[in-house]
Amino acid sequence: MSRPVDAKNPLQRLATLLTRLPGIGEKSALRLALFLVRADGEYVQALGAAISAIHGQLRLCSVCCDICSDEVCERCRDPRRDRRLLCVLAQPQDRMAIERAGVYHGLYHVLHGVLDPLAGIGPGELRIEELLRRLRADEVEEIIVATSPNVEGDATALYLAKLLRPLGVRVTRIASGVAVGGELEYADMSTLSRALSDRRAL
Amino acid sequence: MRIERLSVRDFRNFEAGELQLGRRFTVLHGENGAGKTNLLEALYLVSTLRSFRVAELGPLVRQGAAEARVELQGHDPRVDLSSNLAVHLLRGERSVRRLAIADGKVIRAALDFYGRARAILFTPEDLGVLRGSPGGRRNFLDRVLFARERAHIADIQSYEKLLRSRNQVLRDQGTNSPSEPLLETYEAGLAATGARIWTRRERLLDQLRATFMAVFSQIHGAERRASLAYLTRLNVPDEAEREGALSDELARRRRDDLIRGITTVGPHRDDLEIRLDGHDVGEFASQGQTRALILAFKIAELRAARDLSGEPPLLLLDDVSSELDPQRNAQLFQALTEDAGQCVLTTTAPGYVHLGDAADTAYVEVSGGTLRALRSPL
Ligand SMILES: Nc1ncnc2c1ncn2[C@@H]1O[C@H](COP(=O)(O)OP(=O)(O)OP(=O)(O)O)[C@@H](O)[C@H]1O
Ligand SMILES: [Mg+2]
Ligand SMILES: [Zn+2]
Repeated sequence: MSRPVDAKNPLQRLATLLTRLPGIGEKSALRLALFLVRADGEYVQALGAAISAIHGQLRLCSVCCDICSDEVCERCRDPRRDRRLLCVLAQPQDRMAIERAGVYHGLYHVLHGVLDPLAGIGPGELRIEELLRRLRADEVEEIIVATSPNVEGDATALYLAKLLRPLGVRVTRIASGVAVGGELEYADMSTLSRALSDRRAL
Repeated sequence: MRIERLSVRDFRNFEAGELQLGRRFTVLHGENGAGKTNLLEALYLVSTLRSFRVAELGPLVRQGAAEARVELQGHDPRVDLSSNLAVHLLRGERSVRRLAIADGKVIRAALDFYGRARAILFTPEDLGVLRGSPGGRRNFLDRVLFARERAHIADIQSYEKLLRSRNQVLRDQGTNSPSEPLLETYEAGLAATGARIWTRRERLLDQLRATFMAVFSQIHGAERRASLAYLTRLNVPDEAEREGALSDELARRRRDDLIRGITTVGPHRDDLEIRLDGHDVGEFASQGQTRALILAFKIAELRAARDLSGEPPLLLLDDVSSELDPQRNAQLFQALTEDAGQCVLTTTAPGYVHLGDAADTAYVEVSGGTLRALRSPL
């Protein structure tokens, strides 16, 4: 597939390492490497340091399992957040998306994946134990499951509901349907049928 | 849409060719390997963006050419305007790129292109369906439904994934202990999606049954009775109760399924059953009878589609007449002339075709990738 790498050529070595990043092919890797060759030294030093810091300094929050640099993340420590609401997500980037929207002020829990037996991911591979532990201790009243509306996301949400309802918490799922600001006629048929079956009274 | 002309360029064995279609019938005749089925494939491609012979479209581009083009010129009676549909196949390094164009505009989403020129196809391969596996018959039904209801495609895909997931959980049981809620999770999805698939298939057969039986006796004669049924393990006539019934049955079978590592109930185990005088077709029906049964099913599908959309789809019949005796052939053509839509059929022996010399019928001779219009049947 790829040509043998000349280990003594630093440019080629960097490009080869960059191709391991998601979404980066050989051509983009080379373009990025060449950019760094020409970039100013201070920036390249800072970038290198930031990359090496990731492994030493980042870890999972011991409460919500989100990625953070301390034992407990800033959201879990924030006293202004509503501790009765807990939003369960598949990935850290989902939490970032909701946080960016700025409309949710409860707590989070990151599962680090969704149920997918075909990929070898069962409940044991997700951060579900940690979630149950929180429910025993915390004052959570409602769990909002915010997984994607597909087979894996649906199964994960349903499974959590089966597991959590007996514990006396309310379990809800974020709605899915027609995009806001979008036009109905451009919605695809599965979105439309979902939006219709999840309709609610006005 | 009424189709007036099909043009092909560098398609299969045609360098360039134009076919003027009859207002009702177009008879393509010629010897083996002439290119008759290729022309049906071209029409089918513009209808569905797929081939009925190959999964990848590469072989449709003429050998040595870089790009194939198929174009339909027609008339849309609903708006009383002419309309033009084209599909271009561009040979790339590894795969073939497909371009769908409607009235000069490139249509990116395949779903927006389907249905502009609806077609129903009969090929001799369909005959294997009755003698073949239940899976082949379920596909046969689902393909009819895909053309009518787009939501069926999404449901079939989800159902297959849910099924494989539940089976995997059943097999993982030894290593993962608390799998009851996990099984329930997949069973809930299977029951909801499965009930929708089941109901669509049953409704389809209910819609086709009367026409199917009538057309079969018209082609073959009234002395044998054909029947059409959906075979399923659960007998639940009330549609609203099917999800619950499936869910209960999945739970009831959980222990057996755990031992076998597979899911033993649901629409993936159902079957389409066509019988002749109450006998199994595979064991009982002759070749001509099998052909008449499938043709009756296709004609019933055509009439149901016409009733649904108000416009009859294009009927494509490949090698339709072989194996039918002269009388049954005449009766088949009698049945075909009762529908008002367009029909393109191929034959090696024009003597099989009983359509006469009417002005609405075009006879075209195909030979070695060229087309020649004839004034009348040979
Ligand atoms: N990509 C291609 N390029 C050139 N020729 C092709 C290509 N694909 C198929 N052919 C040729 O097309 C011919 C087959 O055409 P087709 O299947 O339409 O025959 P037919 O008229 O239906 O014959 P039959 O009566 O046997 O069914 C063969 O001669 C085959 O070699
Ligand atoms: Mg042929
Ligand atoms: Zn945290």
